Amino acid sequence: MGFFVGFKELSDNKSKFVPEPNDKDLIAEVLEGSAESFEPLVVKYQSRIFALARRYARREDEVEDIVQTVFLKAYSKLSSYRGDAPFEHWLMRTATYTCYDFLRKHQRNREWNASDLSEEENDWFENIGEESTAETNREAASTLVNKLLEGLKPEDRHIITLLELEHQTVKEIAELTGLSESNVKVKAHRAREKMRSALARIAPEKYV
Amino acid sequence: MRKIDDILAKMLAESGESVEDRVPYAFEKRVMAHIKQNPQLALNFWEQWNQALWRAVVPCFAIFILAAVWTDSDPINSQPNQVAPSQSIAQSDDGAREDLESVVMFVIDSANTDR
Repeated sequence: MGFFVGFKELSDNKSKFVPEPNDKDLIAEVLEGSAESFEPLVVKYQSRIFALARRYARREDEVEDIVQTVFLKAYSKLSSYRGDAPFEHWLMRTATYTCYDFLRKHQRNREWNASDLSEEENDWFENIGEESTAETNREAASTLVNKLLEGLKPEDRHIITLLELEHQTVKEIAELTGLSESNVKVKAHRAREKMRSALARIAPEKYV
Repeated sequence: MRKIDDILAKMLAESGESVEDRVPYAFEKRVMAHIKQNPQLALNFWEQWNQALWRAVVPCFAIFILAAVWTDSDPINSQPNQVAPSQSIAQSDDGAREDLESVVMFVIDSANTDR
């Protein structure tokens, strides 16, 4: 009897289990004309794209514009996705290009000074010797890094963002940007130099 | 006092750990609304061109049939006493020859009368 009850439960669970369609199936459905099949792909990858876009834009409306552009571009070029690499890689590549386009169009080139720092940013310098995992500390570090990055040229900022914040390899960056690996290294070195001098300008005197 | 290098490295490391991946409410609906306004986006240029050509086949064939029927039933073209094109060229050749003869003969005649 217990066997039959167990079997019934198992079969009930089986009937409830609906396998999630994989990316390739969804893409095939979109290309056959079912635009709705693109929505699960947006839901699946949007948080990843938002995280990347926030490295390039500060204002939330700009971030949303970037992410929307990424998905519209991905949809319009979906037929060019050949399926030999994971869809996520292809989508992130599109996102990276879109973010770089945004940088080129909206580069601010602002130079910050110590007097421009917020209370949280000053606190970050105060607590610099401590090992802290607090989220507020990480946010303060992010805004400080953004301030340093704003003084860089778009291409240098793009390279530093991918290398230091997105943890991509030099080889991957070279493929994405079309530069040689040695050129990426040289540009990253020069960009770090500029960041150091910008940091010397904004950091409180007692730390430099 | 810390070195600038150490501060920068710590700043980059903490910033790299910070992942702000929150998504605005119903963002996917906004993207899908844009896509539904133009669902043909997913097809590439050549596929769209191919589709357009196939759509044009029926109207083009209909125009071809209508033109053929109209040409057959046209009263001007169907008149039996109309001169055929090859005939009219032959006639125009004869006329030109006559013109040439009359011009040459006029010159000879006028030369003879002068003497």
